[in-house]
Amino acid sequence: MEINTIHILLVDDDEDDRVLFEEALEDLALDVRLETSENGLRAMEYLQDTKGTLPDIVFLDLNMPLVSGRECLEQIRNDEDLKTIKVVIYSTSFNLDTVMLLKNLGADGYLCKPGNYSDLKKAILTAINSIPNINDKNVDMHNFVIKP
Amino acid sequence: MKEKNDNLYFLEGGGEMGEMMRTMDWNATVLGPPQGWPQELRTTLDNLLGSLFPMFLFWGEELLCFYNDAYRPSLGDNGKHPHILGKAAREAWPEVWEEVVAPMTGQIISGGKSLWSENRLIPILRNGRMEDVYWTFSYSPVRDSSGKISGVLIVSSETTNAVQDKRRLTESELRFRELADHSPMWIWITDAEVNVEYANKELLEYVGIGHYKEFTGQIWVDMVHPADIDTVYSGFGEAVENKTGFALEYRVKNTNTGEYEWFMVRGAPRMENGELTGFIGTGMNVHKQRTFSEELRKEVGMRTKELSTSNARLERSNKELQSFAYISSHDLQEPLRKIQTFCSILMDSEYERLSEQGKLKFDRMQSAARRMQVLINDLLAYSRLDTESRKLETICLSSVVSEIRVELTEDISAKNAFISVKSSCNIDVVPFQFTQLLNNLVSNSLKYSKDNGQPIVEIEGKIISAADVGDSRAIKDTEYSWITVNDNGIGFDAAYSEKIFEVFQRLHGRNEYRGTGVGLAIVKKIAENHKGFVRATGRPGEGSIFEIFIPRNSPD
Repeated sequence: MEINTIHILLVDDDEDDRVLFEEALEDLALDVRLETSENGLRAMEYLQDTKGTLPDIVFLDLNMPLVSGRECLEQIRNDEDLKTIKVVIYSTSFNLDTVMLLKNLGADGYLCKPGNYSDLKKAILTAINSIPNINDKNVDMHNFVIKP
Repeated sequence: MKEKNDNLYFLEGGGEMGEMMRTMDWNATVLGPPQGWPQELRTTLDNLLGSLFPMFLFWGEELLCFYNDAYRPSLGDNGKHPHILGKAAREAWPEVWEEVVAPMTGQIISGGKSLWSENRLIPILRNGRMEDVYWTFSYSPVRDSSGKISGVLIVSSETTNAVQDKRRLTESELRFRELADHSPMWIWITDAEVNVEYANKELLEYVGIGHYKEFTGQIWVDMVHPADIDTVYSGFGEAVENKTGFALEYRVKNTNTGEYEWFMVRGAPRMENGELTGFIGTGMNVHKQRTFSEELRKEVGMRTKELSTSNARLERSNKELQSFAYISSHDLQEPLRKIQTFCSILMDSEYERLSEQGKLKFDRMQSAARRMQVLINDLLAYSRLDTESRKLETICLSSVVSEIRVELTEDISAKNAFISVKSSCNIDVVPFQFTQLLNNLVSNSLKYSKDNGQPIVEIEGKIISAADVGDSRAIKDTEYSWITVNDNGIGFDAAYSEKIFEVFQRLHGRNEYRGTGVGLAIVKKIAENHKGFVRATGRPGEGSIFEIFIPRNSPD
């Protein structure tokens, strides 16, 4: 595994969305390694097992069975070994109150799933390019919400 | 000419009667002139004329009449006075001679005991008629030095007024009793210690005793509902202590049915020289009213409860509806987004391979998906309005318009529209909600513009008082931000000025104008969220005016 390879974990219970995300990454032809989990429980198990080779970014769907994206985020932020992982919320819905809440819970970005494939690619690209470089927790809402 | 009696000490003084006796011509009588009158007559007349107590004297065989000033009023006017003076009793008192005067004087003269009579009715002729006159009197003998009885002295007092007063009193008492006993209410009288001095028939029958004298304190203990006995004791106690009236409601057992019935018992203090002597009062059966009003109260309580239950139910179903709207629109978004995404992939990679017909149908499919997305977004926004946090901020209308100009750049330039702010004012709103409101109105104006000519949208903001709003919905004594959005678009029929604010109400076919029917509903809801309201006026072909009234929270 090369140093420059970006390691991404996608947590989403929706198979279509996982496929679309995967295809988008392939089309973008980036040097990335993608792991996927179909729910928060699996994701947490995965993260606990792979300490040492943690992903650079976790794309986290919100609405999932067993352990929701929000609970997942809280667990990550409360785990000494995991708390530094970048987490981007990846959800269909966009409710300002919810967005604010997740920002306060320590999410690094919010990507609202677009209804257009090229927008999806652009948004993923923006997220991969900008998020790992953000070290400021007080990022403003404008930059927190990732636009295509 | 009448002869003057000289040296007649016993006729001195004596007022009117003394004067009459002095001037009377006694020669015409059997007595002859006073100089020749016997000593016992002289002494008796001396006493009689000198007395202030009514006295009458029958003298001699003929029972000649003498009386003093004090007696004179009992003879009245147009009666015996003054002519019976010196007359024989038989002539002077013909109406009572046989019945009274003859037997009584006869008894004295024949040596019997003095007589005493109290409040005796002896009708006499006076004041021009026979009158019932009551007397209290004594008949006593007047003896000469030899002990022979030569006259009868009557010390008398007329008691007609006292007797009549007493009789009137008795009658009035009787009338009261009769009245009281026919009363359907309780009527009672007590002394200062609240011992019953009188109770009417109604009360006695209700508690089942024969006479008010049997009305002891124990009756109350037995008859009053145990839960009310303290009310009775403290109520009467307070009235005694404060010497005031009272009104108490308590239950008393009906002897006949054994059931307790509610009574309203009122009492008024009886006072004498500032001292309480007792109470007089009534008792009214208020059982029907009481139970009726109690039932009414219960009924009202029940209805109120039902109302609040159904209110709660309504609120709950309202919330459920909201969350349903939210969840359904949110969940609808998910598959739609995928349809659109897969569409866009096909569009990019496979579109050129489709036939012309296929391309057309593909385009239509995409456009339908887009419209569904707009609809879902609008619905989502509409359902979120109630649940989102709202913090009022004072913002300036013109700055909101600037924001909207940016948001609607594409539409504005596509339609070559002109948007102007004629005047601006401050508004107290949740900023993003109000921005959405104005956005919806302006995009509405752009959407429903005429095909020919430049769309012009004029926005105005003013602060006005509730009175100037001229709308019953305006809150009194409140200032309003009055925002008008005036366009030169296609307008609408005045008949629809209310309907256009309802969800899914569209006035146009989808192919004519694109709109989801939610935009104006959102406008209305946002205005109402701010305790404000909306008004729309329009004329077909001549444009529309939308007015928004938002109350000022913190007037500047």
